[in-house]
Amino acid sequence: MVVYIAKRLASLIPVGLGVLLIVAFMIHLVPGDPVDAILGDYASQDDKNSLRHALGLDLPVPQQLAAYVQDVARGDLGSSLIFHKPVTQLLLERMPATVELAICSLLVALAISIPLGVISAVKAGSSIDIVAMTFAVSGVAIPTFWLGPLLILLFSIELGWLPVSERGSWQSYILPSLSMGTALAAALSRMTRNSMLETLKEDFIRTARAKGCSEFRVIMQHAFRNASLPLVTVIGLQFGVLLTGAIITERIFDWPGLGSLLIEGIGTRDYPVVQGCVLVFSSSYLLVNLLTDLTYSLVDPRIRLSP
Amino acid sequence: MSTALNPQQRVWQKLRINPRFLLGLTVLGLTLFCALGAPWLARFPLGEAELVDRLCAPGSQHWLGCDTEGQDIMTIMLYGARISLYVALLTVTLSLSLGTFLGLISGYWRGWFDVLLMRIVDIFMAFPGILLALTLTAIIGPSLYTVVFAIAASGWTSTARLVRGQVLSVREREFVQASRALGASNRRLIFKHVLPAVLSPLVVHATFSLSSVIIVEAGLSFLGFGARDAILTWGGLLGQASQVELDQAPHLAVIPGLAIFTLVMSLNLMGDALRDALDPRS
Repeated sequence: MVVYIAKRLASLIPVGLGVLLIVAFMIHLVPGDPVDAILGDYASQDDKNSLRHALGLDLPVPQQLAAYVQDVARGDLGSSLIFHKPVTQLLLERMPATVELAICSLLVALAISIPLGVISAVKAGSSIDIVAMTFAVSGVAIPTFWLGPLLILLFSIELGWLPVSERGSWQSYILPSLSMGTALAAALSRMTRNSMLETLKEDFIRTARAKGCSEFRVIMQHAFRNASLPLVTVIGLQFGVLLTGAIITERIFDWPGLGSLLIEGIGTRDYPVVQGCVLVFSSSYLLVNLLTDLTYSLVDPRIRLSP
Repeated sequence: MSTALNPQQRVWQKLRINPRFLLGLTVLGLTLFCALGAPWLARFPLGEAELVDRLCAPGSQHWLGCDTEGQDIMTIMLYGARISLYVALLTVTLSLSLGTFLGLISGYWRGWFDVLLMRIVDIFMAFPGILLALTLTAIIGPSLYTVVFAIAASGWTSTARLVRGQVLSVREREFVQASRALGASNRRLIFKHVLPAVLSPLVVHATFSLSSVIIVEAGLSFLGFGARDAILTWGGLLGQASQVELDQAPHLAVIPGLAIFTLVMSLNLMGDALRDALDPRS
C-alpha cells in the first residue's frame, strides 16, 4: 500500500507542475500588454512600471515562471490588485463557503440517488423505476444556471419558503445545494441502479436468500455494500463538476465563495486573484482524485496490486 | 428472400425502432429547422426593439414575451439557435479532429510521444468542467471564436484518451496484424483498419460532446463571457434573467433554459441509443 501511495504521489508531481506553469503563463494570453489591460490607457508610465514590477512582468518569461513556482511553493500567490490583500488570505476567507456548499450538495446528491437507485433496481421495470430513470436522464441535462433560477422562482418568490440568496441560516443552504446536487444525484442514481442490477444477479445474493436472510438485509447488507464500490470512483470524478458548478451556483445565489471571487477577479482584471482561484480549483480536483484512488485501492486490493 | 445486412444497416435497423433515438432526432431536427428557417419563422425583424414592450409577458403579440431591451424573445431564440448550434458543431469538430489525430498517433506508435501526450492530457484534465474555458475566454476576451477555442482547448483531451485506448486494443487484433504481415503501410493500416474500428465509440462520444458543449457555451454566456455576437445565444438570454428581478419576468429565465434543457436531453437520449445500437454485445 505504501508503494502504491508513493507511486500515485509521484505521478502527481509532473501534473501539478504542468498545472502551475499553465496558471503562471495565463497572464501572457491577455491580448497586448497585461498592464495596459489592467490600468487602462490613461495611467502614468510610473504606475505602469510599478505594476509591471509588482506582477514580475519585467523579468524574462522563463524567470517569471520559475519565480511563480517558487512563490507558490512558499504559499505566496501575490497580492490582489483590487482588494489590496494577499491572495492566499482572500482564498482562505472564501474557501469555507465553497467547501460547505460542495459538501451539502454531495449530501443532497447521495440522499436522493442512493434510495432512488436501490429502489429502482429492486423494482426494475415498475412505474417507480420508470419515474426514477426519467429523473436520472433529465437531471443530467438540467443546467445549473436554469435550475437555480427555477428553484428561486418556486420556493422563494412563489411560495416564500426559503431565502433567495446570501449565506446565513441553514435554510439558505437548501436551494444552492439542490441546484448544485441535482445533476450529480441524477448521474449517481443511474449508476447505483446499474451497479445494483449487476450485483443482484450474483451467486452470493442467491446464497444469502437461501440462508434465509430478510430481503432488506439481502439488499442493503449484501447487494448495496458491493454495488457501492464503483460509486466511490464516480463521486470522486464528479467532485470536479461540483466544484466548477460552484462558479455558476455562487453567482446565482450571491454566495461568497471561491466561484464568486473568480468571477469578481475576472470582471476587475485582478489577474493574481484569477490565477489563485484557478490554482485552488485544479489542486482540489487533483487532491480529490488522489483520495478517490487511494480509497478505492483500500477497498479493492486488485487496484494497488496491478502493475 | 432475406439478404444479409451489413453492420451499418444493422445499426440503422436498431436505431429506427428505438423511441429514445427517434425522440432525440426529432428535437434535433426541429432545432435545426428553426435555426435555418429563422428569417422566415421569426415574426419580427432581428434587432427591432420597442422599449414599451420591455420584459412584456408572453401574449398574442409576442408569443414568448420580450427581453430587457424590448426585443421579441421568439426572434432571438430562433436566431440564437443558429449561434448556439454553430458554436457547438464547430467546437466539437475541432476538439474531435485534434483529439482523434493525437489519440491515433499516440496509441499506434506509443513510445515517448504517448507518454508525453498522456501527461499533457492529465494536466489539461486537472482543470475541471467549465474552469479552463471560462478563464481562457475571460483573459483573451470573449468572442465567438475565443469561445470555440476555449471550449475545444479542454474538450480534445477526452477524445484523445478515448481514441488512444481504442487504438491500443485494435492495433493488436488479428486483422491488423494480418494486414501488417501482408506489407501494408502504416498510413494504410491507420486509415483503412484502425480508424474505422474506433469510429463507433467516437460517434457516441461526439453526441455526448455536443450536448456538453451546448451546456458549457450557455454557461459562459450566462456568466457574461460567451460568444459576443450581434445575436444573443440561448445562454446569453438566460443571463439577462440574472440582471432583472426574477418575479418581474419569469419567462426570461424559463423559456431559454427550457430550450437548452430539451436540446441537451435529446442529444443525451440519442447518445444512449447510439451506444446501445453500436454495442456489439446488444
